[in-house]
Amino acid sequence: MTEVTPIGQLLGVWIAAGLTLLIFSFIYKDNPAFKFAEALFLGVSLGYTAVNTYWNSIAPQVIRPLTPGVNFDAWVLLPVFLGLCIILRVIPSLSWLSRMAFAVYIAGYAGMAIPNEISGRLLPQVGSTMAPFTAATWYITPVILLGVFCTMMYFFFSLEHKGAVGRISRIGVVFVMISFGASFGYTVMARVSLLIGRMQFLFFDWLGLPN
Amino acid sequence: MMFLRKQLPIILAFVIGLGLWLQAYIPHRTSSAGLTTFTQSWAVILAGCALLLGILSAVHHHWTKIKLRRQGFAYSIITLGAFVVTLVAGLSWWNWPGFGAAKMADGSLFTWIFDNVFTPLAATMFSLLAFFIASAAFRAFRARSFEATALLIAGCIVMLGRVPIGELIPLGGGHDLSDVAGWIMNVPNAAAQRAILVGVILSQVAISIRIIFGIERTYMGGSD
Amino acid sequence: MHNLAKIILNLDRRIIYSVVMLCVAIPLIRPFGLPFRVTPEVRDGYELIESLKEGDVIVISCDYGPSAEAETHPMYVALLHQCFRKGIRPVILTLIPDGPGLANRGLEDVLAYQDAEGQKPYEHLESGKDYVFLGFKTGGQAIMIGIGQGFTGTFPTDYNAQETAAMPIFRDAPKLADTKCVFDIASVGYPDFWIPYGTERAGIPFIVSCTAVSAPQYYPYYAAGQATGLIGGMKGAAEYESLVDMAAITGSDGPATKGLDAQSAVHVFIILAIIIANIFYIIDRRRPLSGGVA
Repeated sequence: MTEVTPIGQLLGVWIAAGLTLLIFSFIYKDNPAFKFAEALFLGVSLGYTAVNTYWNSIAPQVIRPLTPGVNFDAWVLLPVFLGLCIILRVIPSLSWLSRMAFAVYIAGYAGMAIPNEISGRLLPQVGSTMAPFTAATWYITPVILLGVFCTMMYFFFSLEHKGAVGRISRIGVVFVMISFGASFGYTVMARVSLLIGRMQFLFFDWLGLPN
Repeated sequence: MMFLRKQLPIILAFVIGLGLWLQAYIPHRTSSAGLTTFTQSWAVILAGCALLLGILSAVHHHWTKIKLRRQGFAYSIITLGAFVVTLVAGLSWWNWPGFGAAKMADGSLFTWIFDNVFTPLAATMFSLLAFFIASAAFRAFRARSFEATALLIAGCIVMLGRVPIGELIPLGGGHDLSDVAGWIMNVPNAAAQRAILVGVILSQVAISIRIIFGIERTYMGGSD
Repeated sequence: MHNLAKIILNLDRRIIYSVVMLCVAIPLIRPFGLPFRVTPEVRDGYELIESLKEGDVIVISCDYGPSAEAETHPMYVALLHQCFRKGIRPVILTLIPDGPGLANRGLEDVLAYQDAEGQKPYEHLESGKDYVFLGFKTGGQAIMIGIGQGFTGTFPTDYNAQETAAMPIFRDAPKLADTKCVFDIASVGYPDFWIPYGTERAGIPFIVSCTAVSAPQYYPYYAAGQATGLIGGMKGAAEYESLVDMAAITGSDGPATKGLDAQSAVHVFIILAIIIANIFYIIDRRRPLSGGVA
């Protein structure tokens, strides 16, 4: 593993800590220091994505097969042409060319989605919902069946939610609310974890407190 | 010209979409080769170009902002400057002074930027949400109705039950709050999420069929 | 009482922010060391990996970036230790553009790991034979199907631009169906796609490790057996660290385990805040109409 010079590492930790504090300054109020960090983040993020896309996708899938040698493959020119059509969207007079490329791209994914989504997700999920009750799962499977049915009724707007349908969808709302509550709890957990991560960096990596 | 602009994309969508759909039911070498070509080459190149288009579009937006001296254009200079520096650091094949490697290798300027600029900025930006979610919970999380109360109670049980402190809150019968949180996640939550999931899959299949048969054409953009 | 309710309900947000900050800072500096149990979702995932034999190949999809580092990266590091300790060979890849940096750093850190005796137990491991890092590839779902057709066609070169066709790891496992499972560590929605486009097609198990915010949506897969394990957020990562016994490997608890006390403290504060706010909300709602606060 090639290392960065020690001064580079030390400078890196201080820069990282400084940028962390610049972002944290937003919790007091919006300010130019935060805006600077935000603009920097956007620029680095764009550059990082471009470099990774080039070396990991464009270089092996475009440059490599178009370089004369054992890997040469002229058929790659077809998707490369369509890819260039996508990029031409930035030129208004030629933007219509991108339609062909997007048609291939989007319809290709649509074509792959139909069989795979049905056999790989829909049927197993429906099958699991309707699985026979067993001695080990008698207290779980019926509740899941009830919950799935009632929740789907709640989201089924072709029928007016009155009478029996209304009562069923009301049970569905309870399931949805419990699930949203659980999602809220987990969202809090997620955001707090990220804050903990930054504080660990500031305390232990930057300030060098005993860990 | 009209054929190229309007009909050809729809024909292409129909042929490619139907081909990749039907190939799933044709266990033949040629059918498999078609899938391999699309997934291993075409999709990678097209998705890569779409990503580059997004980057170009963002760069164009900031360049226009600078050119027209719009409000906050100074921040656009920082954005474009950071973009160019990161791009050059990642694409250059020489070692920058003080760095023992080039391109994306360990010890390069590019990885240094990732570790010391990109990582702290990205991680801290999202960690800010911890403060806002705490404030929002205090201000907006009210037991105003039966539904809101169900949400609030489930949220509190999961919040406590999914951290170590929840295991210190006994409920009798050898159970504690974390068991209740586990039940909520595995039973009512799984049921509601599954119902939503089934709806999502069905709509995904429906929209895919509409795209293949040319009913859904939003990917074609403008009206001309 | 109504005036107090008004004061409490309009509390300056910066007071709440300060308390949150303290709730994180104090337990990090002075940990309480609260014990915790391992949930079945996490244990099932761990046991699947433990049941594999030396030389088996698994796919680790690192679909997370720095924005979710605190929740997901400890899981990745613990998993790599488990794999290398057991001689399991991971094929590591990422489907998001900001994924390669952390995936590569985590791999390099674990490979360079030094035990208490100063030995480097993973030093002998070779890229392409005992592990491989394929880097990032655009295409998402197409890549999952693509590696089902063959790894080397989808990834002709690895992250370091080495040709994959000659790598021994891909002679033993040329396509996804030849691997033993997919372990997706994700901060984005890729687990939803790995199941239909990857593991269900290949007929191999799937384990999802994700940020806490997305964990609830993956429970249907765990309940249906489409995901063998589900490791959600920092708590899940801490449970995995305890199963892998990171304390014994590195001499101290992993970062996720160390963060759990702070997590407990903030959660308790937020729940107290919700309860207090609701009490004063009820008091405030019952205020007399005349002379009340608008």
